[in-house]
Amino acid sequence: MSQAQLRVTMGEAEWAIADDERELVERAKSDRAAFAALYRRHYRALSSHVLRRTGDVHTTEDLVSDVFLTVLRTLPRYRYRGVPFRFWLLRIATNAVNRWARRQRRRVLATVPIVGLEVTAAPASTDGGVDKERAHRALLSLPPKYQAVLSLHYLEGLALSEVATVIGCRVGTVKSRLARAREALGAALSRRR
Amino acid sequence: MPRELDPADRALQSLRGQQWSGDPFNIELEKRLMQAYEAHRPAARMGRYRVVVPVLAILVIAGVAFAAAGGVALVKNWFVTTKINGEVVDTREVVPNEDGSARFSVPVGPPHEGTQVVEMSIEGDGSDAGGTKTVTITSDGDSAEVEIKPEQAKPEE
Repeated sequence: MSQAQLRVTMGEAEWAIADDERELVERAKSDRAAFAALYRRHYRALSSHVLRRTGDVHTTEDLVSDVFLTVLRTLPRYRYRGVPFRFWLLRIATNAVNRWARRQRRRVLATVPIVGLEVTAAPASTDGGVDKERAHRALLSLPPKYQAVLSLHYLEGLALSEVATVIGCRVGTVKSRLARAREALGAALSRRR
Repeated sequence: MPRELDPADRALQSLRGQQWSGDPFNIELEKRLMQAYEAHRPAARMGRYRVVVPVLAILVIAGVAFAAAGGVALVKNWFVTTKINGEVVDTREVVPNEDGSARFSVPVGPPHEGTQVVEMSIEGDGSDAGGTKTVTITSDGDSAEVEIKPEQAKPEE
């Protein structure tokens, strides 16, 4: 994705924030305080993203720790190439959660309760809607690569091209994967009625 | 009439509003990160180079000094190549005796077997002097004895 395309997708205000963040990221490579600021800036959003995938607070804390330790280790190699830092963070987090999901998928489906979630301005599940617990279990039953595209596109609100940037594939692949993921989610929900 | 959401849409919509309800950041994790930062920061990485670079420099200098002091020729002379009439018939490591002499046997297969070997060239003689020696050996069997004698100092006139 080119910088111009990204600028259109993100909007001017968000682009300015990205510029500011770019400076912070560069400083964080050699300045401890800047790294702490970067950590504080992204902790909550990253935790929300991971929690939507895992459904478990403790697992989320562990995974977010791993993600930030990976960020710390790999930050010196990070080069700004027109892609916001947030996407880079989401890529590391997505990879970490996918690894966890592959290991834990069956166990999680059977046992883990959905805790620590707070609904903010979300439409309530009424008139035959899907309750969160059931929705979450259905999401967790999907292959990790399907969970990733659904989560990034529908839950994080990323455009298709941004999802492609995060997971490192082509837009066409994201589109077809999303279609299959939605189909699989529908099937999982109908099995769990 | 608004389009009715399918079950997948409704499920995703119900998950969309969920947010992290814990602390805005984890102070314990921040402490851990700051400790880890010390180990990963550029100065710490430079510290590793400060050890590796001198060791490499010493190794390079030692290598150059060894080569300059004739080390390459010395090592080369541990390996003796025997040629009969220009054809390599044997290559081996020879450790010379204290007086600089060495003795070993080389196979003399076809086409030299049973023939008179008119010239045997030995490259690397196990001595510090190095160089090539040519000796004449007569062989009537399937092997030839090679004896290297140390150079005798010529009496001064």
